[in-house]
This record gives sequence, structure tokens and C-alpha cells, in this order.
Amino acid sequence: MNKLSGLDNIVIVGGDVTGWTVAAALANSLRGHKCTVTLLDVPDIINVEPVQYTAPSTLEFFRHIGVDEDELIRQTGATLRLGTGIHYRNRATDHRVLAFGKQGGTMGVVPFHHYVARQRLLGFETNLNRFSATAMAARQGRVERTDDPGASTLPPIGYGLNMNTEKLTQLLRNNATINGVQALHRGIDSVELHPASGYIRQLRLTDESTLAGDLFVDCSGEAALLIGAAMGVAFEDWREYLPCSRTVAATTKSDHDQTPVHHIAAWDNGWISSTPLRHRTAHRVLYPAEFVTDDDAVALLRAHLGAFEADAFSTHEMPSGRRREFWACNCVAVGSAAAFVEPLDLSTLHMTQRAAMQLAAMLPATPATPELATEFNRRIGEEFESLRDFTHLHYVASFWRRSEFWREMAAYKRPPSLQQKIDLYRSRGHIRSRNNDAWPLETWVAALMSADIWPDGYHPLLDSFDSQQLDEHFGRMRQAIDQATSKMRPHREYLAALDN
Amino acid sequence: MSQHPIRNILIVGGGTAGWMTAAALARVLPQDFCRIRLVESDAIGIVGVGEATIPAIHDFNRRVGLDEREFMASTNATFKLGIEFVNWGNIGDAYMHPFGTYGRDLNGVGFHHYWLREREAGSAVAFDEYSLPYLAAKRGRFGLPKTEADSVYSTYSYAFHFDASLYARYLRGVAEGLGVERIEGRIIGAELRPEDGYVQCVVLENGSRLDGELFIDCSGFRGLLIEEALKTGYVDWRHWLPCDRAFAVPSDYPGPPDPYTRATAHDAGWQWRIPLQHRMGNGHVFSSDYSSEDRAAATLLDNLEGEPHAEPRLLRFVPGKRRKMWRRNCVAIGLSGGFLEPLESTSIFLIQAAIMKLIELLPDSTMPAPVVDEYNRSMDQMFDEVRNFIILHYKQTARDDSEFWRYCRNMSVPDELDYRMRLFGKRGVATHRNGELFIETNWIAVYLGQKLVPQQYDPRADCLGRDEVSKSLASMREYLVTAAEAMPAHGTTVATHCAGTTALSS
Repeated sequence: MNKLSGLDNIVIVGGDVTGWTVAAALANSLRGHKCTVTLLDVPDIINVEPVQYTAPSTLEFFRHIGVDEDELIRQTGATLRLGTGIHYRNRATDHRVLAFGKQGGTMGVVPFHHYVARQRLLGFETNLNRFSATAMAARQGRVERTDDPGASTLPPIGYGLNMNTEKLTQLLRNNATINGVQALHRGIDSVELHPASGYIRQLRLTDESTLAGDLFVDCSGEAALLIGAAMGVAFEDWREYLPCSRTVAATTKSDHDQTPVHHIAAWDNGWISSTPLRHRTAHRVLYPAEFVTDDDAVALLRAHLGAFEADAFSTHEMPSGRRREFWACNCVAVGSAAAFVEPLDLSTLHMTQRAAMQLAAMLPATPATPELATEFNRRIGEEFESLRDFTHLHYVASFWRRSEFWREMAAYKRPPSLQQKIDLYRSRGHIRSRNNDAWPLETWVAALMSADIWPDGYHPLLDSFDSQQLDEHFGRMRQAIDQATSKMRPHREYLAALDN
Repeated sequence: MSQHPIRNILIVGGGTAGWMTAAALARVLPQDFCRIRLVESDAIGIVGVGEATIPAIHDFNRRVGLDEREFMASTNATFKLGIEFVNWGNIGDAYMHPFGTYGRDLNGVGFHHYWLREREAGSAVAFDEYSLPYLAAKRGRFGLPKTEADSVYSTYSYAFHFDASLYARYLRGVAEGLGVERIEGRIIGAELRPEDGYVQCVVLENGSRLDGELFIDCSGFRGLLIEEALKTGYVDWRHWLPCDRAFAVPSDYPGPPDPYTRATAHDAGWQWRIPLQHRMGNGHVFSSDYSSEDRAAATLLDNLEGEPHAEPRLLRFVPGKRRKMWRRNCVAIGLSGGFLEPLESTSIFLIQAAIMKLIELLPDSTMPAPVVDEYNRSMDQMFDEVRNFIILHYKQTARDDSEFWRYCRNMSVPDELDYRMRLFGKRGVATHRNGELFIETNWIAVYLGQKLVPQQYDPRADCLGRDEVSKSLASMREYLVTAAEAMPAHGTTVATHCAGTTALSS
């Protein structure tokens, strides 16, 4: 036995989807280990999100906890999401899909997007969506889960899932419980710290019992009961880059829209978004408190929904930002207790899963090993910052709008790391990849081009290409994509077949 | 759009760096795209850097389109499965940094954690014993890896030992065949454009002037353009890497060549041993602060296995890098860009990385600042990373038998390296950054090889029962030993695959 283990009891605080995600990850990682995992299901931790979203990379998480993907889709009533449908300008006409997965194909030493940039400068058709089977399928409301959409010439289809929060939580709870996680339903009365080290010694619960542990995972959401309230780790506010901290949400009983995307549109004072679910559609308006009252936001959403009947409208405040440290002493914050990024790209669960897996690989949490905390904080911190930059791009794309809010936003500074990325890209189309970038290069390209940020130049080697020939080559590529997507099934039909 | 493609590239210097650059650019740039010239003088000897390489060289050779058998035969090359380090962690220690993985991960937990667990329980089997390339190398065996992912022969890679001057000569043939124009001449200076300080032309001894839009400085240590003309400055790393001299000498080598490089630590440096088909390459890298040149030469000669072919040749260098490897319209590639001792056989890799980055970020004649900055940032990161990896070999030692080693073990190291050593020393996490050359396995090989044994392994390794882990490890080892013994002898593979022209005639 590891003589310095220091890993006998892990306590997870919070019983929503975040807590159970961490519980399932740890229970599966520690199957056969003497360490016990207890989840303290404290009251009042409610996840206001009716839907949980994943990105392609996070399907890995479910493999880790042994959940079959088809089963996952069935049990959580999931729909597929091939990307984000963005409407920066006018909802009806200006529609692009920021699709998961790669565009185009491999063409020698120069990355594909340089060719697109050059063709655009020469006046050829260069809608990036036309070079992505994922994007084209999404636009047609068709889906497929395959690594080989067409004769091995096209990159794999990228997709994530939109899952019912309650059903997913149930699935994770079952999974964790089977693997030995014990749940306790109590509130926290107080948190007892070691006076010298600042480590959490135990929790005093509302029934006057105590709960001790070597490691405490704070999944209590924005309340941050441990990392914030007890440990006093400060929250770094990112509203200067992502100002829409307020949300009005509602779901409608509409199923007219079955496109496998999450739609976002800019409005005068923020964002309005919708995601098609199995039988309903989830809507939300994001806005900054200084510019819009909750009543106005509700009115806007109501008007937007038109004849569709909505359930209750709920408002919520959730500023973007990060905890200075996610892991401090023996307390690790995961989920919105750790950090939150405006949900324009729906990365909350994705980040929770990433953090849970990283945590499982960085145990234990003892005073002898502060380096593990440093490493965890470095990796997760870089990833969140990358996500922040990526999300801010949606703002950059919308600065043309003439409202006071957008004028003010345009005058704000950008995250320096994003500015460098944009400068290099603008100059000659190169993308700088960072450590622990949240998204791969091709997703950045898709986001930049969707945002109408184009390079002023391209790789000089392309000057030796005949642009007419290249256009013909692109034509064949588009044909292959059309052929592949025409064989795919409509989203709803696809899910129905999966259910049977 | 205002792009002004470069139509005229001048490579200054024709050593390994110069001809690698020429061959790669000529292969990648279409012939009508741009004129590529290389100026060198037959009167100036080249510093044959490298000789030993790392597997990344396959990417370069593939990019240039080299035929492996032909190039190996032309350079008297042998295969290389790793580097054996002797007397580094302590006198009498030996370990290998092999080109391959160790054992097999279990339940998503790294193999080394299970090895550490077994060690704690009393097992004395060395970490190396779970490496197929190590087991094959020490048996003098080498077979080409297989590509099938489920084959044990897909778990390692290989590199080459070769004669770097023959490699340069071979690439010269390739480059000239692709239209690179070679100009014979001694360079006496360069002229800068008065308005912006860009290099305008280089001046030859015979008075002729060679112009260009992009100049690639492959002139070696002196940095004819980057330093002598542009005064870019140099970052000196001697406080972390005290070795600043090397004696090199080839020697006789009876018997079949070993498929690995050996680096043996001495009391003020270390000695390389690189088996080629026709001779042994030897060299003693040492610190002039801790050893006289005479003593260093004597140490080298005392430690040869066969007769030397010549008097040892002295090289002087300052470990470090140019303050900017790309300045204005001049890119320094090779020793003009920076120098790191060849302890991990990275010299040719650093040349290759610079060439590939230059091709990726190929500028037009306006030399856009964000592109230049990105190149310098990437190359700085690459040099810093390789530097840190080399420093690790000196820092992580128990040797205190000489002033040199006492200095090394007590010196302070770069923060990032210090952090990585602590992270591994505490809990066996080998971290690395995006895009780095050396990944987890490489770091683990050197950490464990030099006895940086983690105080604690991953607790997840305790999920399996003790017997189960013991049995798994025993059967892995048995399997790997059988696989190694089934490989052909290295000498046989060389003879059938790529017997060299020199070796056959001698």
C-alpha cells in the first residue's frame, strides 16, 4: 500500500449534476481502492439549467465511467448538437454554423484554412460551412455519428449531446452509487479548518454530526460553500470581457426546430439563444444588469417566443469569472464554484468533466504535495482562460451593432492573449495554439471566420496554385460533402430509430 | 491584398544546417516560386554536429523525400534505439533513455506508477527492463518497427547514427538536383540597407555581391549575419550548462555496431560514443572552468576502445541562444541560432525544427511583425525546453566526486525545471507543455534513470491487488524479453538494409 497515501475519505459537497459527475469520475477511477467517497447532498443546491451540453471530446468521459453512448442518448433523452448556429446580425438571413470537427481536407504542408483565406481575397465563394460535412449536415437538420462520412476523404462528423439535466443526474447517481459512493442528505452548519495549515478538517452538519475527509470537492455552485465562504479564495471577475451575467430562461413546447445546433443571436443588449430538445425548446436571454431590467428581458423573451407557450420564466445571476485557485489546501472546486463562462458555447459540463478527470489523476491532497494543486490549477486555469477568449470572440463579431451597449463593449479592452491570437491570424492566417487550449485549431478557425474576422494574407506558398483549379477542387469537395450529408437522416428520425 | 512573395533566398553557409535548409526549401517551394542560392567556401571546414539523431528526423527525411536505404548507405549510418547514460546519477549507474514506451498502462494509470508500487514492495527489477528498445539494444538487436497498433513492435521508434558531413553532402546532392544554386566563395562581410537595416547583400572575397530578400544564416558559431552584421546579441547559459569545449576524435571499432548511443559522465563533463558502420565517433564535452584542455584530451584518449584515427579536434562553444533567431530579413538556423550540447542528440533536431517553423510561417518580403514574433517565440520555447531537459541530467545527481559535479548538483535551475522535478519527485507526475519535443515518457526515463524516485505513486495504482500487479509486470517483462530476442542482430539488419559504401570498401 502507498505508504504516504493520505487518501482515505473524499467528501463531495453538492448533489446536482456537477457533484455527481465528480462522484462518478472518482468512483470509477478508485474502484478497488480503500478510499471511500461520500457525497453530501446539501439542500438548496439546485441546477437551474434544464439541459446539460457536452462537446465531442467529452464523450470520452462517459467511456471512462463505462456508459454506452447509445444508452446515454436514450436514457437522457438527448438530442445531438453539431455546433453553434450563429446569428450575429439578422436572425433570418445571417446564419452560419460554428461546427465541431475539421473543415476541408489535407492539402500539402499548408493548413486548409489558408486556401479558403486566399480564395476569399480573390473573390471566390468561401463560406467555411461549405467545406465542413458537420456544418452542412447541421444546416439541413441532418445528423450522423461517424468517423467516415464520405469515402474516407472527409474529416469525421463532430458532435456533442444536449441531455436532460434530471435524467443525466439520475444516470450519474446510479453509476456512482453502484461504484460505492454514499450519499448523505444534510446541510452544512460550519466548516472546521486546521488553524495552522488552513486545511479543512471536517464539516459540522445541520444534524450536529460531523463529516471528516482528506479531500473536499466543492461542487456547491456559485454559493462556493467551501472554497469561497470557508476558505476565502477570491473570485476574479471577467465581466469586463463577458458582461452578460444575467439570464432569463424558459422552455417552450415547440418542436418545430429540430436543427442539431444551439442558436445564438446578438440583440441590442446581449444575446438570445435556443436549443432544440426532444419535445421542447430551451430559450434564454443573456444581458448585463446595468443595461436591462429583468422585466424588460422577460418581455423580450416573451416577444421572441411569440405564439409558443412558455413555462415559467426564471431569472438568474451568474457572473463570468474564475476562482483565483480552484484547488487550495485540500479543497478542490469544480463547476461554477470554480469558474463560469457565459454559456454562449455551452461548455460548463465539458469543463466539469475535464476537471473531474484531471482531479482523479492528481490525487491525493496533502500538505506534502502542494505541487499537485499547482499543476491542477495551471491546467484548468489555462483551459478556462482559453474558453473565456473564445467566448469573447462572439462579442468581437458583434461590435458593428449600434446600441449603446455594443458601442461600450467595442471600446473595452480584449484579453491580451486573444489580441495576440487575432493579430497573428489577421496578419497571415496563422493560429497560435496555447497550452491547454479549450478547443482545437480548426474550431478557432471556424470561430474566427464565423465572426467575419479574416486574414489579410495567407501562406505565400499558395501563390503557386492556380486559383481556378483550386476552385474546381473545392467544387468537388463541396460535392462530396453534399453527397455525404444527403445520405444522413433527419435529426428527429435518427433519434427515433435509436430509441427503438 | 498586398503580398510580395519572396523571389530570392540566400543561404549563407553550407554545413549540416545550410544543406538541410536548402534541401527542405527546395523540396517544399515550387521551382518557379523562388530562387534559392547557397554560398559556402570549400576552404572552411564544417562542424559536423550531431552524428546521433532522434526519431523526429524521420519527419524531416520524409518531407525532403529521402530514400532511407540510400541515405543510410551514403552516410555509413546505423540504427539507434536510445541513449545509454553511464555514471550520471552516480558513478557505476547506467540507464537508457530509449525511443519507446515502458510496459503497459493499466486501467488508464501510467505504467511507472505500478513499477514504483512493485519497487516499494521489494522488487529489484530495473525500470529499463520493461522497455523493448532497451532490451533489444543491450542484446545488440534491431528490427524495423511495425505499424500495426496491436503489435508489440509498434511500441518503439528509432533514429540514426550517421556521419554528419556525409549527410550534408548527401543533402547537397538532393538540393542541387532540385535547382539550388551553389556559389563557391569566402564571405568577408555584409551590407545593410540604410533605410531599415535589412540585410541587402553579402560581400565575397572576390568582390562580388550576393543579394536576397530573405537571408538564412547558417554560418555556424560566429553568426556572420545575425551577429556580425546585425549585432543581435546572445543569451549565455553557462551558469546552467558549464560545459563549453569539446574534443572529437574518430576511432577504430572492431565488431558489429551497437544500436544505441552512449554518454559516459566524466569528472568535468561527459564522453559520447556513436557507432557508425565504419568507425566509432567519440567526443569529450567538458567545462574549461573545471578541466584543462590537455587533461580533457587525455581523458578522451584514455577512454577509447580502439585506435584513434587522428589527433582530437577541439571545438569551443558557449551554450545559449541568439537573443532573436529571426531579425529583420535574416533567420539564423543551426549554430548561429544557438548551441546546446549534444547530450540528447538534439542538434539536428533543432535545425529541423527551425526549418519546419520557417516553412510553416514562411513570410513574404514585408516580414510581418506578428509572424516574426511568433517564430521567435516558438524557437525560444523549443530551445528553453531542450535546455531544461539537458540541465536535468546534470542537476539530478548524487555525484560529489569532483568540483564540477558539486557545482552541478548545487546549482539553481530554471523555475520551470525546478517545478517539474518537484512535481515528479513528490507524486510521479511528469508534466510537459503543448508542442514540446520531449513528452511524458522521455521525462520519466531520465527522472527515474537518475534516481529521482517519487515519494508517492498515483493512489489509483492501489486499485489492483498486489498479486495481480506483480503477475502483470512479470508477464509484461517476459513478453518483452521474448520479443527482443526474436529481433535480428543489428549488424544483420544494417548489412541487408543499408550497407554503406565506405564500410564495404574498407
